[in-house]
Amino acid sequence: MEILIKGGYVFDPINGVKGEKLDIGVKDGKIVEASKIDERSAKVIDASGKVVMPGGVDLHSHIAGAKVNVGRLLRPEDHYISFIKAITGVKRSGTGKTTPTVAPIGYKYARMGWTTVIEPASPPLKTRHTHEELNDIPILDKACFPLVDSNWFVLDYLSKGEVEKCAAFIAWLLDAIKGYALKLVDPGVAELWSLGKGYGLDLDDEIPSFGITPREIITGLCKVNRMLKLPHSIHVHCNRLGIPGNYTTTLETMKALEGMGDGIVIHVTHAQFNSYKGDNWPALRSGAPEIADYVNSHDHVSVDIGQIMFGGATTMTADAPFEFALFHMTPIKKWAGSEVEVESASGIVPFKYKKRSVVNAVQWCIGLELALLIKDPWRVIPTTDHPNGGPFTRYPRLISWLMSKKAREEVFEKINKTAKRRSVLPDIDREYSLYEIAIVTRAAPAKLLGLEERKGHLGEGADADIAIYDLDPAEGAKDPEKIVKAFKYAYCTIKDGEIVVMNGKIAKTTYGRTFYVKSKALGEDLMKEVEEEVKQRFKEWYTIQFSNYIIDESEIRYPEPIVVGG
Amino acid sequence: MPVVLKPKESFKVLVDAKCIAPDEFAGKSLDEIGSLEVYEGGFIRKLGDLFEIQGSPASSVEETQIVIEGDVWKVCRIGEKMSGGSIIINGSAGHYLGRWMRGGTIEVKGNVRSWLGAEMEGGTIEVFGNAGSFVGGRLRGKVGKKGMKNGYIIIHGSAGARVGHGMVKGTIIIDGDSGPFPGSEMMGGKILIRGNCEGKAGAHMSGGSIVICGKLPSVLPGFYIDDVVPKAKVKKEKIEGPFYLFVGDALASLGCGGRLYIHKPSNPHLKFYEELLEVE
Repeated sequence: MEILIKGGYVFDPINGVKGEKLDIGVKDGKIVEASKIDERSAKVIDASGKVVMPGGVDLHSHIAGAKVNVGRLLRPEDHYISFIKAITGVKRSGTGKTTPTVAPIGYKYARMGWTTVIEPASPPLKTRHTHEELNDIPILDKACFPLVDSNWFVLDYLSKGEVEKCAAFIAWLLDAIKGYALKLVDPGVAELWSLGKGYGLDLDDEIPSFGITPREIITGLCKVNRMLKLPHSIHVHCNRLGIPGNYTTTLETMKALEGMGDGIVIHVTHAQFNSYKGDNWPALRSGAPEIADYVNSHDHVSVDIGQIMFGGATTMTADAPFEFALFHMTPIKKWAGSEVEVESASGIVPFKYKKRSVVNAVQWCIGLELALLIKDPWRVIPTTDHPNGGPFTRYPRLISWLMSKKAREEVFEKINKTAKRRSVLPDIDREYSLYEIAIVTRAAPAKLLGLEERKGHLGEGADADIAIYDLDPAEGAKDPEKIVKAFKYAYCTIKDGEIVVMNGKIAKTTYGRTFYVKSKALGEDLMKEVEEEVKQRFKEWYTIQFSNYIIDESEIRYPEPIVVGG
Repeated sequence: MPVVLKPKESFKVLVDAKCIAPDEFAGKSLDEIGSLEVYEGGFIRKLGDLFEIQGSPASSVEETQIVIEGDVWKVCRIGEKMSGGSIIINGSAGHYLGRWMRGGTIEVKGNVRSWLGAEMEGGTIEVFGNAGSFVGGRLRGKVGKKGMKNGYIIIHGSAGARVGHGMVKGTIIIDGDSGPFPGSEMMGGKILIRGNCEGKAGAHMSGGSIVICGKLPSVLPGFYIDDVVPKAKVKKEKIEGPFYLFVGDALASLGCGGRLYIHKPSNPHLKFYEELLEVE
């Protein structure tokens, strides 16, 4: 199918297009020059007076996997009143708000104009489940990051100083379970949690069973990441998340990786939860200015903010001790926790962010401070860490806060007044332009993921993932309500050359690819040697057979390997 | 003049008809009522496709009266969120009858299925047959004060398990027997069971009172005997005893706010509790 998008204001940061009126052609799922499209036979979309952007890219959203499913089971009340109807041949049905079932995830993202979403935490043993769910998420392209920080193989190799062998193991693992990048959640904490400890594990505390510190794990895995030439840097959820005073740990983590190489070597995820100052919860203050200063003066770090949105959320993370502590702090008395043998542990707690709460209001300020104080939009991504900070469906509201000081002031009138005094947010005048929004929601995440050749831009040869919003860049971009409305229901979303959303409604159900990485940076002898070692120890450590661990390509609906380092 | 709904044929699959409520019908013409959406299984149908609709609707919610002639025991969510008016069902009704209801009355001549008056906030429900489980109960997964908040439910037959699960306020009266776990996790309100109870009354209750006039196999270990009282009172009605009065459940709250009245003559096997009472 050929499509011609005529007369829209195009925002395409990777190619430097800043809201100029351009035509865009789509042919065979790729973007081509508009002149190559025959206007008579193609489907023409009139985008005059509308904004045309590449399809959105979300690099951190818990959309699939074992823990998401446990979240769904834990929260039936989340599914009573929110549901989407099935329309035979067009879309499937589903329910859920903070823990939606698979179909609504794809539809709701597509409806907002997002087309690529990454599941950021999947224990390798449970990744078969993750892929089964990713397969069933309609429309989106996706990938998953395996959790490696508490994996016994990794800890064993790193504690012996065998970084090369560790790299070979990681290369084997990514290929075996079809993962995309390395995720570290509170490095080392799951290993301690299996002994019932681990809350507040700091960067230089030793993990007794392996005699290794989180600092060594992070630097070791960063070296591995560089060695394997993986497209994304290590994706780190820093130590001591959600504990007041943890901003120093975050700074130390970033400092530990200075001089590791060119470009970005660490992605600090949901940094809001890691930028707390103060000795205890009532005295919580924002550490965002310090974090932002550091990020501004060093170019090896990228962050996503993990903004909280007032209202319901379901916190789910592989940081099990923190979830256990959170369970005791919340009035909602239920939680779920689980441990994955050899690899990881996780916990789930339903949560509600309240406007009147000092802590929640300060958290709200911290997220926005990070987004507004970090000057380089290519290194700060607005996310809600769905569903930890709030559901991804509230991105339009987050975008309106970034784009309009007025919108932020409206919120300040409703939230706890103490938070306003403790925050520098009221003094920040910066407002994102539409071009910067296109960077932070599209171009920058695509670039950080190493997908910038095919995602996040509208140049020739890119995948035809396009979002068209009914918003006038001159007038509408100043009115927060108009911004929310435009981004909530995209006028049109095109995925791989197919129109999937028209007038804010799902028009078609398609299925996207699953990306994974094959690294060929290491020699075959080393790979074979390590694979033999893993096979041997697998029998001792796991309760399942080695052959059942490996996920075949045939189990993935549309696999898309990305070969690096060859 | 009421609006009369008559099922055109017996239902084969569950029907989701939350639109059958005075709030939806008030001020609408018969044609408009007939075109309201319902789900039959997974398919969207019109109310008029499933029911013959007669009568003349009133303009306000309070004056609206809905009469359903015939069995609608596969039709769920009738009277959801209704705030006034009345519904009379001359037959049996399905799940979630009067869920989240805030006012008005519902009268059922036959039986009802589970979740009758779930999380209701006001109004009256009267059932002449039997009821299923979770009468006035809290929906699954919800925590805190989310059960029945107010209102009055009277069942002339028997009820299933977990009557008044998590209820906060209001009254439930059951003339017949009750299944296990009446008043589980309840925080307030009153439950009167005139018949026998299958057991485990008041599990994890932290407030409110349960009166059981029939036989109860045993009292849960989280309860302490407090007294023997001659009478119990529910909604201005004095019930002749004597009753054993237990307080609990100690597992839910150390304050033991819940009260359990067990009819003494019907339960001779509980006599050993009297030895535990302090004699003045």
